[in-house]
Amino acid sequence: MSSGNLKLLTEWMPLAYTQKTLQESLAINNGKILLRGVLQKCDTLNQNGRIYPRSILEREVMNYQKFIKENRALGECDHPDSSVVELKNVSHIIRDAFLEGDSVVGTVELLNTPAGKILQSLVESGVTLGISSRGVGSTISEGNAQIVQEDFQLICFDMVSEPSTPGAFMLTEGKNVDLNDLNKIFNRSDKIDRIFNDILSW
Amino acid sequence: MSKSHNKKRNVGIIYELLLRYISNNLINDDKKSAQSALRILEKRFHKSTEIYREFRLFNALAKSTVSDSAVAAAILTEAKGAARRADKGALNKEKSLLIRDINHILNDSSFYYRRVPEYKTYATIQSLLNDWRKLDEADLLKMVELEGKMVEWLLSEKTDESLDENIDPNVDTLVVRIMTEKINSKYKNKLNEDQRNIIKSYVFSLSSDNGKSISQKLDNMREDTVNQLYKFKKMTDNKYILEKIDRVENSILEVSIDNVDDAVISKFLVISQLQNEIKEAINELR
Repeated sequence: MSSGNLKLLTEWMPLAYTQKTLQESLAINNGKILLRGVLQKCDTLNQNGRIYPRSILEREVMNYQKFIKENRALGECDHPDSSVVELKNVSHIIRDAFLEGDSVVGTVELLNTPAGKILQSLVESGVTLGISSRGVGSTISEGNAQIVQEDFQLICFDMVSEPSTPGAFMLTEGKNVDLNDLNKIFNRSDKIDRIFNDILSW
Repeated sequence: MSKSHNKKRNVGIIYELLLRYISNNLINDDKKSAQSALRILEKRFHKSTEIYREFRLFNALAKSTVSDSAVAAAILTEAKGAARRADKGALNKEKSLLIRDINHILNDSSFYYRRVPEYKTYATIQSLLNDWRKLDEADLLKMVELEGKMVEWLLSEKTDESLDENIDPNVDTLVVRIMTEKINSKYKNKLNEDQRNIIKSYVFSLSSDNGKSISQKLDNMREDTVNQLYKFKKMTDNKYILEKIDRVENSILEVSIDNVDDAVISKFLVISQLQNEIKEAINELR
């Protein structure tokens, strides 16, 4: 299906950790930092006034499994002004993601890339970080909320600083995304897998 | 075009405007407004009305295509006779009531300002119908000029790429027109050509052959998709895809096409999308 009026949509969630959980992670995971937390919420009005219906997030988490299994669930440190993940800015990788109640819960591994090392030192210093989903899709107004529509496609989760004000990450928001951008993000097998998941859900 | 042409009294234009109003409101989920307009349409264009008779005449001139100018002239002669047989007083009164309904019930200031693609032709047809009814009072020069334009129009090829090109006489024209408008405007950029063809076949097959042709089409599509999947399975080395491919094939084969309904069509729109992606993938892997 081709893209209509798809826009870049990003949402922020705090990523909670303590020095104790950090030290445990380093000890258990051979010196790697793995953080576990809520990546996204469904059926809940978020900071940007959007609601992600459960069925849509459930589907997107399912489609994201291919990225996780193929070690391609990469994310960047801060949101770029683009829908495409730039390898030079990659800081972490998502190791698992699943739906638990109304939350998408996941494990984030901080990588030893330049951007990943910045994140590691921030975490070791106890800086509050957030995790932010990056996706493309359209929304429809319903009352005071924007309801994310069926055409939503999750791209990745980025690590970002805590927004001081609601909508702090609105700079890249609403940018139109064209078919070429989507083709850079999703390869042929991703597209086929997405349709496979759709068929297997009948 | 005659300065005296009044689009509010042009049956073809008003009918198109009402259809556009209904489809816009259906797309915007304003069913109440759409139903109000539909009620006006059903009441004022009812088969017993003079407006309906004029609308049929209007449509015959607007939609017909002939290959011979003698046939075109014969159609104009017949149409002229039919126009003159109309009850002019009743027609004018009915048009006034139609305009009143639109203004008072719909109360939409932009109603008359929606774009009608064949506006000029529709204006010519209505002016001609009006002039024919004037009998001896008609401006002969103007009437001949309009009839010349009408002959040109009847001889011209009418291309329409929308879904209603295969319209079946048994199908409720209004329903098809509204559905066509709705699908074309809402899904124009979202459905590929094969998917649009599935919807088109579905609509017309249900009315013309009780769904036999759409079942056959879907069966062929399924067979082709399964064959493509088989080829792709032998070519790809993507473990994640290979893990699912047999289950997907079974799911596709399990879709019953004995009674094709909206749910089945919805599944085949997905299968069509898969068929396209698999074909692309095979081409890339060759």
